[in-house]
Amino acid sequence: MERMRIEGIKLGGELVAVTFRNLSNVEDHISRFCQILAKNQINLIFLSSSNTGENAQVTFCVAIEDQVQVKALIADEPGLAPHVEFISSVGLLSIFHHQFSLKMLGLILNIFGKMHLPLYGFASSLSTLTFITDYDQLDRAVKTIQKNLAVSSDQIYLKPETRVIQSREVKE
Amino acid sequence: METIAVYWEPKIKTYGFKDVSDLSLLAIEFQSGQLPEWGLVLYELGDSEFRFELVLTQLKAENVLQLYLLFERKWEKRLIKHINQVVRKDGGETFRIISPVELVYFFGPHFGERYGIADSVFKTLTPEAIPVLVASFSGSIVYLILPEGMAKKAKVLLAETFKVP
Repeated sequence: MERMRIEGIKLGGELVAVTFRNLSNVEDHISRFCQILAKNQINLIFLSSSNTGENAQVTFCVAIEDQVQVKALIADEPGLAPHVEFISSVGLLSIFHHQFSLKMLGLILNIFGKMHLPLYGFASSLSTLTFITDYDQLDRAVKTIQKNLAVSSDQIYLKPETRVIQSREVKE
Repeated sequence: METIAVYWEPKIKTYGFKDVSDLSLLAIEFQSGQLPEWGLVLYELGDSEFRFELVLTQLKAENVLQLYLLFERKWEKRLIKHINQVVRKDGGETFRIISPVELVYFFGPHFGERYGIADSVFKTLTPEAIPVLVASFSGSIVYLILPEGMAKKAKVLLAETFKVP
């Protein structure tokens, strides 16, 4: 496998991953739970859902400081609480640009798999592949990716320098 | 140092909606320890023309990954032939194709840093009985994979909830 060039790596802050499995009426549950989170002004930093037949599943990430509140909100939902799994602490590792290339995707998955890191999910966006793994393993992941892919060291953003949050105060 | 910027919008702003039809969704289930091998499979399939539209993975159970790959339907036969050759059914690996499907996607300013985006999407589509097969909210972009014939309808509904330029 060739050593392909990527444009950069970005790491996110500390998060908790929440997964619901084997939900019935999954769309009603997702809709209701997203409504509860919005009402409580909790941001979903990452979300993936699948409802393609059996075993509908939703996985999302919230900031680690929202963990206690999210656990309490789920505990209040009898339709959701038995189906939940929490994983903390996790972090997001984003690699760009994937160029929608299967070759690039395959190479990155091959490298990620060989690292033997826990993988709780990943998703593509327009230019990025974002992986969810253990927060304390992010630096090791970056070092391995650097060894296997061509990337300049000045294109690695090891930890976010700034954090943007939406204020819970609303002034009209 | 904290900097505060005040920004008020009566409707959530987007940079516009896109829809793509005539797509196929591949779902492969395998042991997470097989990720390097499946990476190699996709690597070998890759060429300058065969590109994916969206890829995502969920942890379906302990050490079991489900990978979803969305691509142009014209590649379906080639992909099925290739996957059939490599899938290890005796190792519990399974795959299926859901086809045809459609995609709606859109993005907006700071979507990954704001609450209420997913709520606005689902509260628009769920009451209208638009089934979302797969959804992905990552960074500033929202992807919705829908059954055939649903993308245009979903786009119209979402354009009522969100601001379209």
